[in-house]
Amino acid sequence: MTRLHQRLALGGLAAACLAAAGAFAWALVPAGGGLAGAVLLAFATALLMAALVVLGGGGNGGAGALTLAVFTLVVVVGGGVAGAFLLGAPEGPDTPLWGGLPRGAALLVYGAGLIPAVAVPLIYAWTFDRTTLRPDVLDEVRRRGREFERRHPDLGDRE
Amino acid sequence: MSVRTLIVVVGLLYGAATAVVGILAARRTRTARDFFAAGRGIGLMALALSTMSASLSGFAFIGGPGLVYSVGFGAVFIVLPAAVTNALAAWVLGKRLRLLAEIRPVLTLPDALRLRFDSPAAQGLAAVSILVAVVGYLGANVLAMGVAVDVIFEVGTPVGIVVGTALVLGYSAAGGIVAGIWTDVLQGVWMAVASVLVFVTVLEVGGGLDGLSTAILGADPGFLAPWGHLTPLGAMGFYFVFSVGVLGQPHVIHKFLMLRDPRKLKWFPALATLALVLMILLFVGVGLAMKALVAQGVVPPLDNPDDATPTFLLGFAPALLAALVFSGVAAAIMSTVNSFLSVGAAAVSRDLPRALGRPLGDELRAGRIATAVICVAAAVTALSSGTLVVFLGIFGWGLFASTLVPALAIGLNWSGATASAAVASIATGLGLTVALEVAGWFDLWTLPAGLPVAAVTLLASITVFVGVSLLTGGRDAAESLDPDVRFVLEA
Repeated sequence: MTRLHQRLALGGLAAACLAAAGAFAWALVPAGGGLAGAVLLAFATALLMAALVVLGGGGNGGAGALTLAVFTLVVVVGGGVAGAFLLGAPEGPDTPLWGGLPRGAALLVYGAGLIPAVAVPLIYAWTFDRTTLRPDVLDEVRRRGREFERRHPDLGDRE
Repeated sequence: MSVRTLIVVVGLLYGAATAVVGILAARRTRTARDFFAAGRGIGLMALALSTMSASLSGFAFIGGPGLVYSVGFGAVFIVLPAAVTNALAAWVLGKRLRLLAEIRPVLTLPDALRLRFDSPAAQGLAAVSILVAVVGYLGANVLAMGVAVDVIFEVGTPVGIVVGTALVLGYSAAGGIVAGIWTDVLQGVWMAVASVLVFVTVLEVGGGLDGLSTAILGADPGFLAPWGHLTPLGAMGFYFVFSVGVLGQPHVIHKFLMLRDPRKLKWFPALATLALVLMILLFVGVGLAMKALVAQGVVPPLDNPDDATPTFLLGFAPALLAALVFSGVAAAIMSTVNSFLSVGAAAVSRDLPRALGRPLGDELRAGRIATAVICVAAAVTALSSGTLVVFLGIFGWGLFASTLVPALAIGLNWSGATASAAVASIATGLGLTVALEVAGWFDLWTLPAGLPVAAVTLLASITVFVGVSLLTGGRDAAESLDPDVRFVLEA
């Protein structure tokens, strides 16, 4: 991972923590369980996950290929949850249904749930060989492991 | 054959299958590495199904649908993170943990923390946190197992606890996590098939999702608000906890250490997410169906929301499906109990002695004894503590999240993080969780707007971890690392 990616990830982590703290503080004001704090926490959570993905997935190949994952987490998950909140509660039996559910619930399930459930694992597989675990990196790790076992035969884990 | 007879027959078949798997697995368990890490020999399917089985306890079958029935769509925020958590865990933890196990003998998460931070204190404190949380969480799951066995065989909850404990203890102590993984695969398939079939039944009974929604909207429109009858912030607090908090659940992420080939991680998120999504169908579907049936006056309102699944199955599902699901509940709980026993036994017989500089000579034997002691302690807790056991279950999950997430999720990916930060964040999570949960239990103080305690404690421990690392480490922290460890952290 490059130092730039690490700084971006840690910066995102700090921003997400600040935003989450702000959302929790919102709970202290009257009617603080309302929409503003929830929308802020939606984006804070999405940003926190995205920062962790960059921190964990940005291997020697750079974290550029993870842009799609970051976009999916922040825009689709964060935006989908926030959008569901902003669509509000259904008002009665005449509420129009999207895919069998009121609009807010539908956006939550199909937008912030099903789309990332398909997209994010596929992005992980797509970027795996290039950024997450390159074959040369695995070979080097295994070489180091064998070297350690050769130098310390008594410290193996096969006891 | 009556429904009752069918439920008993399927329950007996399930118990026999589990016993056979346990006996076979015991023959394959010869070393501590077999007992705690399945000989680091499991494949992709076993990893995906066992993480799914371990992460979903009986709550997915009983408590979850009951929660949907009682608080509405807001309960979905507990399961919605499943869309991304497997990929998140693979990105953040899977690779590093598995590569650490490649360069050094790492069998447990506290092992990994000790290696990462070169700190016996981090290993010991993590083991203490795991042990405290395991006993609490196990107590709740053993009680649920007793209820499930009672539902199947009608022997009473106390006898159910004893019978269920004996079965899970038998295969856990003999076959360790090898037995756990094999039974997890059996249990995972069982649970997923049952969940899909129940969801199909839900759609048939309710007239599709449109029919269910229309019935509910006529009686209680707020039920289908995105946050249901929770507050928006409280619902989102659940999402925060169950998305990021998963990265600290040792009974789930410990399984990365068992994978035979790290390259198999490539398709782990896709398979594990598919398995989890199938399981969620029952969680959400039964809760919605029962609410719709009550709204239409087909069934009377439930006195206890946890009756949602049994009421639906016995009233509206085919008898064989009901029998499958009742055994599926027991399966889900047993797989979770086994996984907890494994990490708890490892904490007692490997991590704590090593942290204290006194490793045990025969960790396999010690692990089997610790498994038995912890299992019996959990059964006694479940039999004697009444409603306290529910509190212990919630407490355990939050404690895992707040103590382990920062040191693992950030510490394994940032070479600038320090041992002081790991110790401080674990201590913060432990102290704050105990203080806030106990204050809530005794009605001294609760968080406003329905915020979950774990959300606040998790945020606090992450903040402490990053802050202390910046104050005590920086570039020097990375340069003081073992070169092999640093290579893995920065790869």
